[in-house]
Amino acid sequence: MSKVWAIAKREFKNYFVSPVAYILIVMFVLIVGLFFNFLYVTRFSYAQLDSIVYNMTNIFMFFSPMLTMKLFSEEKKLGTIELLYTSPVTVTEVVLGKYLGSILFFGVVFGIMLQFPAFVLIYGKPDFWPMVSCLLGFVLAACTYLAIGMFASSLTESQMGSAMIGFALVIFFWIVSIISDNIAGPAGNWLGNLSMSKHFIDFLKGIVDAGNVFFFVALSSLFVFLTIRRLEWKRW
Amino acid sequence: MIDVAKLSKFYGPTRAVENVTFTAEKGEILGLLGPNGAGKTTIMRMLTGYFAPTSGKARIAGFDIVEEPLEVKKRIGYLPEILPLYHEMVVTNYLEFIAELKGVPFKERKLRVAKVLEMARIEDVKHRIIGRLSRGYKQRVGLAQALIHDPEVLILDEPTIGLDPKQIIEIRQLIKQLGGTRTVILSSHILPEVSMTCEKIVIIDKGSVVAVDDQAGLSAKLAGNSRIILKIKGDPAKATARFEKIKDVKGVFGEKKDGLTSLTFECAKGKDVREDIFHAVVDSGLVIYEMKTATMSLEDVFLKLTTKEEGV
Repeated sequence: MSKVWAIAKREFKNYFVSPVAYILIVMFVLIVGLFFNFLYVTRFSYAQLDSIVYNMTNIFMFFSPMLTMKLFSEEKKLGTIELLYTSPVTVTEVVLGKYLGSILFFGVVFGIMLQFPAFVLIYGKPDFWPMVSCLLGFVLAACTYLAIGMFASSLTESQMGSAMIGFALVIFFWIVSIISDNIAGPAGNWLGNLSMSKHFIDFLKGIVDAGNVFFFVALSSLFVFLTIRRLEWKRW
Repeated sequence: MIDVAKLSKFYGPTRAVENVTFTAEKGEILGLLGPNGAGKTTIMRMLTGYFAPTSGKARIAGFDIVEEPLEVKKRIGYLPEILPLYHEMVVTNYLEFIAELKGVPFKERKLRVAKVLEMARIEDVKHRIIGRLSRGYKQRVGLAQALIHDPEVLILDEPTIGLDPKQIIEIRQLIKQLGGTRTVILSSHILPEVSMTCEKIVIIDKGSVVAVDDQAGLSAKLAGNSRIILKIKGDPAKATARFEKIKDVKGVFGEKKDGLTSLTFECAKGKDVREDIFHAVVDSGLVIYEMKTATMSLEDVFLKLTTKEEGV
């Protein structure tokens, strides 16, 4: 486990070396802030979190592939992956470390995002637990995006390529419900269950359903597992 | 310490390495020598657990590379040909990270980092960002990385590539020092490199081992066995018995061309047997068309082995 932590720490620090991370954070805060201003301040004086968290989650979908594209693509391109493969760590530890690193970075983003619920708490009288439920939904969705993006990063040496693939995959899992709505019968139902948006919506209503939580945990785990398999493929 | 038996690696139907067998004892420096693309890196990557062999076995410090890869990896320091450096990191941070990754206990990390900084002579750049260092320094940071957990076995892929002559000499000295207590495998396509640092030399070509020799054997060849090349007309079998009687001739190889037979005599160092050969040929009723001497350098041995000519 200490090695998972070593990799996670390096990965986390690595985000702050390049200006890209700062630019992404600033852009994210600006865009969400703009929505917040529009939805909460000038227009409706709304005291629930659901609409801002909904926007946050959608906007983060566009940012997450840029946070994860480096994870394995860069290691492959630089040849540093050889170091990881030949060190006394398992591929599972490497993947978990990288994933944890990206989640830690998301933690920083999330911390900054907490200002919006704080404003709502200070200036309004929202129900507390629905707020928590909204934020939990955001965290779960974001962690799933990161897992999907990490898998995309393990597929190719090109950072741009992995960002594109990651983005396409995340979009697919988000909007697959639109496709499934047009398919009748059990096939449509089954496809609809794969949709993140369907499982996400309950969190906004303040409902924490074990099935929905399980869905996000399972989908992230699946992509963590696929990343491990991908990296072991053709090596062992 | 290192025991490689019939190791093979295929990429689909393409052969990268086939049936490679060699051993290295504790404290020995073994050189893998071969032209580019011979399979040196592939062998090293199998030994370090970068990928699994298609078939064959290898044991390092008693652990099988396929069955107990983690135990093997704990005992190996590896310098890949493409330096595994995180360019945005500071040298000391990088080495601390590697130490953690290799399982050096927290209390010893600072000490180990200081030690390898000294060994690789990179103390003066320890606070600099790796990406901004010169190639020579990067190479040495790579070497420091391989030494960080004080491994029993060092595997160095082309360790002196891209260095200037002075740095090459320094690295060679360092490798020699390390050899006393650790087993070192290094690869190179440059012969003097290997002949100067290694005690045992494995020559590889097109994925197979073509020769294994120790320093002494190669030195003898390097000093120059004299060879006599002879072209004669007639059946050389008639003279074979006479040739065998000549002292100091170690071996005779022949090939036929345009009705003439070309014979190569391997002779002991510093002995001139031309006269004996002359008499042997004439007495057997054969005719000499040409006789010349040639010395064989280690370069020749290497070239001969790797270009699949007859002999040697």
